[in-house]
Amino acid sequence: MITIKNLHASIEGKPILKGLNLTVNAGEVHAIMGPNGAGKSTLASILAGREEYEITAGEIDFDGEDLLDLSVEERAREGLFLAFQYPVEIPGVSNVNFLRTAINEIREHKGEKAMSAKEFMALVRDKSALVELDSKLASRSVNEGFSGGEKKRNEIFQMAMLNPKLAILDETDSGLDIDALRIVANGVNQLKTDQNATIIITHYQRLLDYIIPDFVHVLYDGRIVKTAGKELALELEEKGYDWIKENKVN
Amino acid sequence: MEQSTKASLQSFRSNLSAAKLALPSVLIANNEGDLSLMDFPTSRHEAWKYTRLSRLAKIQLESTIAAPIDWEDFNMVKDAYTFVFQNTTCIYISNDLPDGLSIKIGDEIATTDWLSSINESHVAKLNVAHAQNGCLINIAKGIQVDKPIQIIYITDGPKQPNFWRNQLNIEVGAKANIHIGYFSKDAIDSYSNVHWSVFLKENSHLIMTKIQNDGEANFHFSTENISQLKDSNFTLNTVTLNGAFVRNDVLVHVEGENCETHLNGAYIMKENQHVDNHTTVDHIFPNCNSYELYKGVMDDKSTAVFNGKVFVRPNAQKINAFQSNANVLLSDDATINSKPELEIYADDVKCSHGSTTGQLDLEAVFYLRSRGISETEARSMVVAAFMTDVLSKVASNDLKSYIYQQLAARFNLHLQGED
Repeated sequence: MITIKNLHASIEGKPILKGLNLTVNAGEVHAIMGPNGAGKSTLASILAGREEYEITAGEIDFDGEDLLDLSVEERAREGLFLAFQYPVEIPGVSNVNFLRTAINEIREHKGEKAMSAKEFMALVRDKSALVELDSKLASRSVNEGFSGGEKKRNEIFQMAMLNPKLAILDETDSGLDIDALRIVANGVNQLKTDQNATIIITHYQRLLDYIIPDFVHVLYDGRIVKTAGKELALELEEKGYDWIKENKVN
Repeated sequence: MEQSTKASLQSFRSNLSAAKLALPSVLIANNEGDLSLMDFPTSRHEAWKYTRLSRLAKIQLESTIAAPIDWEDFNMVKDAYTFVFQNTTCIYISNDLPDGLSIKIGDEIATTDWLSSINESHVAKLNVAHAQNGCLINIAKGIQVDKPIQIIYITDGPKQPNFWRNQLNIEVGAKANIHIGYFSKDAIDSYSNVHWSVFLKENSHLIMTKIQNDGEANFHFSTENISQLKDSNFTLNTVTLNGAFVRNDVLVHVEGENCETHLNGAYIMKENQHVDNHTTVDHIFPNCNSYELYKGVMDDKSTAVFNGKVFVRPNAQKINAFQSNANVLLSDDATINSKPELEIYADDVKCSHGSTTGQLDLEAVFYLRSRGISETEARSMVVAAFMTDVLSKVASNDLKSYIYQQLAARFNLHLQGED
């Protein structure tokens, strides 16, 4: 699905990623954990196509396409989705209207017919129920006046609507209470198929009680320094990151 | 020493015909004398600081006879009582006016019909001196006009001067919704100067929406003098979509208690266009509310000026006056000069004013793009969203869809109606 090779990236001349390697296959869930400043959100931003970062070396292959060559919207149309750590409020742009535009632009890109209004509304009903998002919220301005939990649920709602091949959840669990966390996790689990993949970027092990990862990676100082199964998350929760830092130094 | 340039205003006027409307002596008595002492204001004049008239001053206007046109090309809404002026000729009059709505055109308007409406600017004085045609609309006591009244003005041909003068009387308890459209055709270096005197009697209600959609080489000057009596409710929506140069002077005299005044403005400009909105709300009586919201989007090298004044006179207690101007600049070369002003001489009032200018919210654009929407469409959605609240104040759905169509065609802006 996605293969990241030797990725080096910097912002304003400061190196953040220093040779990151990661391969994610269809049907897999990967968790990327790591201490603050390790480069977790930088990785998410680069995958989504934020232009502030300079890629100094490396390559990313996304289902046969050179991802770094694609614009932000082309990546989305090819099936990449980023659930934002801080979803943006856009007063005046209705949540469902923009999603309809997005879905139809993606369909046009794939040479498919535009979705009918009826079909679209049925999809909205279905997918908003999945994340228990009030259908009134679905038709309001994008994220405007939404609580923190509603914003994160709205991200997963959008993910469900767009049905991406690869979803990257950037700190989606931060700031969520346990009920919201359960709802979000349940949404992600229900969307999982053997055709798609998920990268969960998180600080805490908590979310991984609900979404069981196939692999857990530790990102430290711009590189993946350790990869193991789901048990690694528990170990990190218990011992913190210091032992990994020490191991790396030694 | 500043070189006297009176010559330029006189030379600008040299080809212009004297007024054809039978204006009353209170208007014309000192007008010529005043004009002979005036010239085009320069940037030294506070009210014209950011709006230069030097290019206009060099144009030699010349009235020509225009070929007949199909005014339907300029029609904004289908279901309305419509009047159309092509240059200074009235070319269409709706003939099915309801009881209580009367309209007189040009020489049908008697000298005694005109009420005093004096404005000291050179623009208003030029209008008095050269007013060629116009209409006088009267809504009788207690009448609520069932459809909008639509007046369309078309400036046709190069270097065409058009001076229109109009008066609107809304009698006691009457209610009307009027759409005014300004358009042009082949109007290279043309000039339109329109004056509206508006009188709202007690407990009357008026919504006036101006669509300024002139061609890209026309100079347009619009002056509205409004007088509001007790319990009246007045809304002016000024929507500027096109025009090389647009200057709006709005002066509202709130001359009675318990009045409500709404001034809304939307301007969407590109290329080298210039729009200047000067507004004054003068609260003379207590217990009134005024709300002013002007919003603009400026692209390319376009420039905008906003100057909004609110006066609260010494005895005008319990006034709520709110004023806001917000702008988005889409290019590094676009400019806005915004100056909200409050002058308050009463001590028990609630007034606020504010002005903001910013770039397009790029984080919002990124968010939309990250869902698969093209950059052009994402930018357009964010711009449209910025303008939505002010445009939603246009009360008529037909007119709103007209505006949205224009925005889509001219700026690729797609606004959605309210659900």
